[in-house]
Amino acid sequence: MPDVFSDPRCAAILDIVATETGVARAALVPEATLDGLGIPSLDLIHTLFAIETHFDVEIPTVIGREGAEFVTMGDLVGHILATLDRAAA
Amino acid sequence: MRRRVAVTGLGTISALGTGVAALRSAMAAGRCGIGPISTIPTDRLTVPIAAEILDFDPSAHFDRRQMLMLDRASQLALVAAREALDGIDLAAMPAERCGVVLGAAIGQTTMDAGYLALYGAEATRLPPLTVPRGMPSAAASQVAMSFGLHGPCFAIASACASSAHAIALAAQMVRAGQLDLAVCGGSDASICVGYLKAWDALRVLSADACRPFSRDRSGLVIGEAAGILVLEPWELARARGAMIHAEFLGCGMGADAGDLTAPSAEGAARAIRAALDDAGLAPDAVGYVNAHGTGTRLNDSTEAAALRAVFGAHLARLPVSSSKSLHGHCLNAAGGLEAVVTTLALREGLLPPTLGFREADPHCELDCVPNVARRASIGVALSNSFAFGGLNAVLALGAA
Repeated sequence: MPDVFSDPRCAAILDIVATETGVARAALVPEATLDGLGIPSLDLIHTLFAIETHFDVEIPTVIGREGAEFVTMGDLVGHILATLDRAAA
Repeated sequence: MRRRVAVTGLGTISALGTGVAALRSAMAAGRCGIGPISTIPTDRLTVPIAAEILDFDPSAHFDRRQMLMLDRASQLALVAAREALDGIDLAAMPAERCGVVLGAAIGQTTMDAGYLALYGAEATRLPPLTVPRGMPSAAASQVAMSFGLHGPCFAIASACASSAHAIALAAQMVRAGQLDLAVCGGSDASICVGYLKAWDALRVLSADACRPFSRDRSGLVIGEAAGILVLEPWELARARGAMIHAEFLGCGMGADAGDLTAPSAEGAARAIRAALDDAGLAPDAVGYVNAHGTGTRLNDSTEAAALRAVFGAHLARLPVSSSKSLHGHCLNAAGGLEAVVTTLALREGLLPPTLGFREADPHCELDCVPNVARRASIGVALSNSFAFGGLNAVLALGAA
């Protein structure tokens, strides 16, 4: 996986994740799992909604993984950045 | 098994205030909770009045995270359930023997705001909890989650009789030994532009006041509320030293199986007779009826005809009032709120008045306790709920 966390848009994403989930910003590293961070699915849904609102973009559901889309923070941030790239294209 | 059923908890919030004490004082004073609509834009409404809850600040009851999950209908249900369960030591009861049966309240304000954003403002996405906030069983789930109750939990839909049917079924479950504690009744928060426009289209809303049984009555007035009862087996309630507000004596349910919106006197009379039969009561044992009494021309005359058919000469001695003239027609919550009112009538010996009454209607020859509350010691009272779709539920309650 490319180092998505070096992308300049990542800081805003992680700020929103920290605010919405209450997880310490420093714990939000690429290999951390959402389970390990104790982020319940309801909080993840709110987080995605807040990120959609912030970037004014619709983040599509990951096809084939509905309801369990992301294992790690890297998965999550990668999907969001890919969505932003597509929207900008 | 047929156990006696005690009403051991009461909770409410309505335009008349938060809590049973506020409801009781409004009943005694004949205070009306109906007024000009102030919580939503009215420029597109042709009917400017409702019975709104004006002094309710959700943030005083719920934290930010809870509020994200709660439509107003669930908020009202939780506030009333907290009051109804206050003082009951749930930790001392097996959680799987404690259940929740509420009327099915659609999260109207959540859905209305969502559709306004989607179609009006062309939003590309809706708030992520629109579905779990809007689902008609949301309030029942929230009550079970809030109190850790693991028994049967569901919501019942029968339009404006929903929470009366919910109480009837919950009481049957307690009576039959399926539950040792039931939180039942319902809530409704439907004061939003879309739903009021839908009601307006039915041409049954009054533009000035709710005047049940009055010759010049002009229709119903929508209200928002929650009314919750806690039911327990009589012997268990006595054994734990519970405060018993009233006894659930029986219920009658039935369908007109006729017109979609026009009520049937025969259908209403069948439900009233069924409630008396279930309770083992003769008609002349009844000392008060809390009427469905919506204030529409057709409902009130049909309900009067049904009462005349069941009670005959006894009707001349039987006070029948509509507390909807105080708290409005609270739709899905109506049966629950009015069961609380009826319980208070029994417990306090206090009959709520029918407000707005100006002139007798020969089609509604009743003692409707016009305009002023009345002191009366009664032993048995009925609460009528007759819904669109011809769905009828009548509860019989007795003094404790």
